[in-house]
Amino acid sequence: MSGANFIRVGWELSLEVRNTPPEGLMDRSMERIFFDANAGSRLRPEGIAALSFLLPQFERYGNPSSVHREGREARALLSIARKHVLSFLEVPQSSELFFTSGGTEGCNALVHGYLNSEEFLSDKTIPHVICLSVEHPAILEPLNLLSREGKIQLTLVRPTPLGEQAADYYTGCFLRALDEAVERGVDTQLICLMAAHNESGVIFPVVEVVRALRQAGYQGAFISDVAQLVGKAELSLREMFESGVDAVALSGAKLGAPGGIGAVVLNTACVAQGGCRRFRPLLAGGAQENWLRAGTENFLGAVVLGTICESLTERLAAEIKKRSELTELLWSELNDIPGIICYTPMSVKERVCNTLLVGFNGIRGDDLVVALDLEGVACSTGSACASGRQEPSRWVQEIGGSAVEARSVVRFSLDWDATNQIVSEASKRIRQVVTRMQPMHIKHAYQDASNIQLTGEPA
Amino acid sequence: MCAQAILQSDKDTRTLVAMSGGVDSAAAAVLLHEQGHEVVGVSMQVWDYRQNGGSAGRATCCAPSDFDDARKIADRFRFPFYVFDFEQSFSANVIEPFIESYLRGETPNPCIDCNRYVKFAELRARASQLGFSRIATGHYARVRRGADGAWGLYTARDVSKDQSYFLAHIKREELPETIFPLGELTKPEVRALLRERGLEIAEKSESQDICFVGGTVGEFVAKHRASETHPGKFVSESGEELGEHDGIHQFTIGQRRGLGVSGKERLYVVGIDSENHQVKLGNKESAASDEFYLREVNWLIPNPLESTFKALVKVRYRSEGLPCEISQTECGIRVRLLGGKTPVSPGQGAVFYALELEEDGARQVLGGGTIHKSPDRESSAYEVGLCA
Repeated sequence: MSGANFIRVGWELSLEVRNTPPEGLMDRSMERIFFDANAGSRLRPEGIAALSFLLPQFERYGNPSSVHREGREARALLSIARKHVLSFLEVPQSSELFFTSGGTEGCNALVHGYLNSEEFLSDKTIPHVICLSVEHPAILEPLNLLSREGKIQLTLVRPTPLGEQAADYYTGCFLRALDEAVERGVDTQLICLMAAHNESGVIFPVVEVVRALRQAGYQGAFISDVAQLVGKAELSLREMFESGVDAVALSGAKLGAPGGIGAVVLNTACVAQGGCRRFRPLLAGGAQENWLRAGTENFLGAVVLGTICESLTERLAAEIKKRSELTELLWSELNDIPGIICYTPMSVKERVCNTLLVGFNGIRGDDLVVALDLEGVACSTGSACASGRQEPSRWVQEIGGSAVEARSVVRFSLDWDATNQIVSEASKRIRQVVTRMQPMHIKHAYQDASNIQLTGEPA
Repeated sequence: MCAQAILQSDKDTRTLVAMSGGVDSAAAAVLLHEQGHEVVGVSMQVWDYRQNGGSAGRATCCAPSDFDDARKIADRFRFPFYVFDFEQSFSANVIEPFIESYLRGETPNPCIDCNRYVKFAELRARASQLGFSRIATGHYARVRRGADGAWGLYTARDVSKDQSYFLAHIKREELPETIFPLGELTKPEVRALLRERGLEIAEKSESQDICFVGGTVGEFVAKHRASETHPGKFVSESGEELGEHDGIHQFTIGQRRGLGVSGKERLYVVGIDSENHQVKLGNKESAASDEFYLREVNWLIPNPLESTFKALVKVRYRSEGLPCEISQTECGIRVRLLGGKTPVSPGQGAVFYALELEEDGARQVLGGGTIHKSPDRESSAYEVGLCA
């Protein structure tokens, strides 16, 4: 088949798949209820269709960088995939998008990518970096490491549980941190602010903050981890870029693509306007992705991601609305459980559509996750479980919760295929399990997370 | 051949199996699974090996690579598997007391404490949170009803592997909900049953060390409480100074080697004085006692101390049961050995067994406590028992 036909068939496929109503593939038993989409979501039917189409056709895995026909065909499909993702994100086609192995690589690439001045690399300067104290470990860990090595000064901004004044609060914190650095005579080279929080689902006012920082004269890099926002809330990446964000990182696994694929988008308009910083690739070793990310591309992953993005573009608003309602429904069915506390603000503008972070007084979150798993409900404590030791919830700690509260947290993150029926069944099982586990003598009234005191100072 | 299988009711078959990643707990899980129990395998994370070291070799216990071995069994037989975080509890209930005990000149047995506080108490509490009451492990021991219908703990059929010594602190009322599937099996039979099922864990070697101590106990204590270890003097029984040492925590009663001191006859550690940091040396006879007191006693039979009673006692893991007399006195529970003297170490477990064997050769465990002090000497110490 000639190269041109191959591309055309691929294009037609994605259009055809988009027209298949997802309900057709939806019949499943209620045995397992999956409320851990923030860790990895169900592979969308468009993705499965794309793979089923592509895989039998692979006589050879054409390396998109190769000169020959097999390579050109692969490269063409990769371009289409790239285009679809950029369209979905509503950014100018001139933006640079390179595919990665996922959100973690993307975040690492951005952190190391913008701390790249000659002075920094030769240890002649110790620049200042500001980020949230609740960034994903993929941002925090590289920064913590550099800080421990004495290569950067790191200021952490604590989050606020309050929704309405969030923009003012964060703008104030970041500006203050910037000013204090100036007073100390340190140059701030990188600021990170994630778009949405993986544990609590809270949306951060990235546009307001970056706008204020640019207006105040900040010339350094500003990056945002959008992995938890993409596909789960209205994402105005265009507005972000126009306000002065240099780059974002996203993850396919959170969108309904398989794990192992993500993307980074660089705001080249920013560079063209003479602002923002140049990006230094993390992975060197080849010319792939326009020298931005060496290594043979995860071609299958990219095509699946592209197909999903393309088919989601029209449906996204409706899906977000539906998922949001279901999350609210889940909360409404749980909120009278004695001792329950909700850490996710319910206002639609302040949270992504699918996440509910709750605490249960007197119950360990890790025990609850196991108990629910045994009853067929998959969820998580929202924070990493490395080498068997359960970490307490960083979100709860950082908004001022106690150590005990931080260990009593469970995160429900609904997948794109959740339904009313699933939510009802889930809340029944959750209630059953929690009631059995709850110490009988503890009966607390429902508490609002805004009762928690907050200092409002950057950490 | 089949192991003990106790299903209290047909409906409720969920059983938590504590899996260390070793041969025995794997076999226990497999057997119960095949007998129809709804097995949930749990590995207990008690120690962060990455950060803190510990036995790093393959033949160890409860290291992350061991959890993988446990996980493989769970995957193969398709039962749920979890790793529970017990670091805080283990540190507070096992490691800290272990170090304190050594600094007092005692010789603790941490494996007894681990079973007592972590495996059969905290794990059971966590399990009941999850809706089950039954715990099983791969220990070599038996739990069953006696002739009078009462539940009791008994030695294993494989006497050379019997681990009932470490289990004496299980609460009597919890015996019906405690299962030891390997109690009727020998070690070779256990490996064979795993081999028959094509499981490579059948060939895994077993750890004999304390799971959280990498080098010697002395090094461990010195590393964790450097400021509290003191050098001191070796003295003879008559008080004569014989030499110097750099910490009482490195010595145990009856120890001959590593003293760095020589005398006319063979010298043994016969006493440890934690206050003055002195280690007393003498001859072999001086190291032995025939009377001691107990603390923290747990009975697995109705409290027998209304009057003095007789039993066999093991004062360390690898010893025979010695005939003894136990009585309640004003100073506490006193044990008198009736058959002669033996080195006795405060901190070690003293476990009591019935004088008579059952028909099938099992011997009932009556209870156990911690050796407190011999009235005729200061704190003594002895070699640490072996655990699994």
